[in-house]
Amino acid sequence: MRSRLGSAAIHAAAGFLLGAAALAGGQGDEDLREKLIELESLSARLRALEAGSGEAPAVDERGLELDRIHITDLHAGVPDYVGPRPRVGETSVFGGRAEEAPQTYGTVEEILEIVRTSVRPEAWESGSQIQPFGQSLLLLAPPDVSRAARAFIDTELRLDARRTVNLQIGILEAEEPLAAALAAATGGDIDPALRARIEEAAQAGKARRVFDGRVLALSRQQIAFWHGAQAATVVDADVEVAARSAVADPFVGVELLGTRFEARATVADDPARVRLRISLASDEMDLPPRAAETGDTGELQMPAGAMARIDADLWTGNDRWTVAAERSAHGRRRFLLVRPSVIGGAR
Amino acid sequence: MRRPALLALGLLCGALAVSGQEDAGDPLLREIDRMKRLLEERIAKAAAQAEERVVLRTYDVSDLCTRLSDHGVALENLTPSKYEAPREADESEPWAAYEIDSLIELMKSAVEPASWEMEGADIQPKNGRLFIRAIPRVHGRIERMLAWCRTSMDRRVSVDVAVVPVGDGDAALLANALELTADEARRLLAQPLAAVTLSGFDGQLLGGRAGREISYLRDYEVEIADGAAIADPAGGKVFSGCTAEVRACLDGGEGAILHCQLEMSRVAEPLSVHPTAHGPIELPTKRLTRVQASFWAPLGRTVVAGGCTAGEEPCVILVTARRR
Repeated sequence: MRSRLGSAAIHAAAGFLLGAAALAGGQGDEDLREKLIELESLSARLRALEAGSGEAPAVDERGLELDRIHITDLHAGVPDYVGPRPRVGETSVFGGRAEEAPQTYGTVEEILEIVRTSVRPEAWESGSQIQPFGQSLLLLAPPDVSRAARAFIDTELRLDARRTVNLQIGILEAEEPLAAALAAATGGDIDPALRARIEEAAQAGKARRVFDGRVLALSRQQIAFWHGAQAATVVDADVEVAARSAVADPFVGVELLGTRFEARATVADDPARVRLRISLASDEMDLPPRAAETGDTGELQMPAGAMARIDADLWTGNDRWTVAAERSAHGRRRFLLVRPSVIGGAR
Repeated sequence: MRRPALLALGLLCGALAVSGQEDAGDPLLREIDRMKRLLEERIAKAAAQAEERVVLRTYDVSDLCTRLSDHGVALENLTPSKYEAPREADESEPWAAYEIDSLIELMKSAVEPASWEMEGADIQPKNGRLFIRAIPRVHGRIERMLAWCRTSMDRRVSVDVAVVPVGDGDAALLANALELTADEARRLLAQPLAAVTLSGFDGQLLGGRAGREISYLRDYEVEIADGAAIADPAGGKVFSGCTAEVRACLDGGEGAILHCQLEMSRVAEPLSVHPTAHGPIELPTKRLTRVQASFWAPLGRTVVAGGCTAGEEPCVILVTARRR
C-alpha cells in the first residue's frame, strides 16, 4: 500500500510539474523545456515498469543465436514419373507419380545428422544445439557455427540436389545415303560432318524432323513426356443374355497416340558425360478408323496405324546430339536423337 | 485514485499554479531536478521488482501452427468403359510451420532456460494461444522470438504456368533456351493458349486448371431382366485447357526446385458421333502435351519446362516461379 501511495504521489507531482512547465515552456525557456521532456519520459518509463512491460535484453547472455535453415528443397521427395502404358502390374494405364518418392538426402532428421557430423562436430558437444523443426533445421549456436552450417548445406548438398538436365529428343526421318550414315553412327555422337550432312539433306527434302521435344529434369529422376492424343473408340460390345431378352453393352476404349517417352538422365561428378535411359513409344492411328458392322451389337471401330517402341540405354556427351536408336518400317527409316545439356548444379 | 487521474489532476494544479506567476523558471528547474532524481530511484526499484515478478500474458500463435495441406490436381484422361482408376500415390500429411509443442520447447530452450525454473513460470497451450507466465524480461524476448518465427516462416511462392504455341520463328529459340530473357518471355506470353497462376507456401503441392469442361454422352449402362432390357445413357465430362500441379521448394535464396505435372489439352469440337445398337454416343479426341518432371529454376525467370517444337500443333509450357 505504501508503495502504491508513493507512486501516486510521484505521478501527481510529476503531473504538477509538467502542467506548470507546459505554460513556462510556452514562454520560451528552452532549458526548462528539455528538462521537462526528460522528466516526462522518465515518468512514462516508470508507469510502464509498474504496469509490467519491462524491456528485454537484445543479446543472448550465452552468445547463442537462433537461426533457422529451410531445407524443403532437400528433403522433399523427388518422385519418378511414369508415362502411360498398357496395364502393367498396378501402374495406372495413364501413368502419374510413382508410389515412392526418394528423398535426396533422406528425412529432416537424416539431413540434421549429416550437418552435425560434417560441420564443426565439436560445437554440438559444447552447448550449440541443432534440431529438426517442421520442414527446417533450427540452430541455437554461435553465429559462426550457424554460418558454417548454412554454407555447408548450400555448397555441398544443394548444388548436387538441383542439378538439372535439359533433355532434347528428336525423331529424324532420313533417306539414303544419310540414313546409312546415321545408322553407322548409332550409339555415338553426331560429329560436325554428320551434322552438316543432316542439314544438307533437310534442305534437299531428304530428311525431316518429325518430332522435336524437350523437357527439364533433375539428374537421376525419371520423367515422363507425351505429345499426342487420346482418342475414344467403340472397340467392343459386351453381350448380356437373359430369358427372352439380350442386350449389347458398347465398350469404349481409348487409343494412346503420338510420341511419349520416359527418360532418366544421370549426371555423375564428371558432367561431361551423361548416362541416359529412354523408353520411347510412338503411335499413329489411321483416320477415320475402319468400321466393322456386327449386326445386332451395332457398329464397332477397328483402329489401325503405325507404332514403334524403342528402349535405349547409353552414355552421351553433355550438350552433344547422339544417335540413340533407329527404327525402320514400311521403307521409312527414323532415328531417335538425344541431347542432354547439364544446366544446373555446377560446382 | 488511478495514476492517469492523478497525473491529470497534477497537470491541472501545475498549470493553475504557474498561470499566476510572472517568472516560475528557477524554482521549477530545482523542483524538476529533484523530481527527476526521485523518478530515477523509483524506476530502478520498480525495474528490480518487475524483473522478479512472474506475470501472465497470452500470445495468439494460431497463424504459426495452422496446418498446410497439399492441393494436388489430377491430370485427366479419357478412360475406357468400366475403368477403375488405380489408387493415387498418397499425398503428404498436412504439416505446420511450427507444431505448438515444438514451439513451447523452443521457447523454453532458447529463451533464458533458467528462468523457467522460477516458481510459477510456465507455458500452457489453449486453443491456438499460449498462456505464458514469465518475468517481463522473458516476455520481451518471447515477443521478439515470435516475430522472428513469423518472419522466418513467411516463405510464400507463386508459380505462373502458361502454354504458348510455337511458330516458325520460335522453334529454334525454344528448342535451345533454358530461360528466356524478359523481352522474349513478354512476347511469347502475350497470347498464351492457356495460363494458370498458383500460389501457396514453400513445399506445398499446388494445383489448378483453366479451360473448358465439355459434357458428352459417354456410354450406355445396360440392364437386363426376364423379357426386357434397357440402355441407360451415361454422361461424361472432358476437360480442355491447362492443368498444372506444382510443388515449389525454395532453396537457399535464388531458386526453387519445382516438381511438376503440367498439361495442355485440346478437345476437338464438335465431338464425333458413333452409332450403337441403343443410339448414338459421342467419342471425344483430346490432343495433349504433357510434361511430368522436376527441375531447378531461378526465381523470377521464365523457363521452358518442356514441350514440342516440331510435330503436330507444337507448343511449349513456360513456368515462372517467384517468391512472395
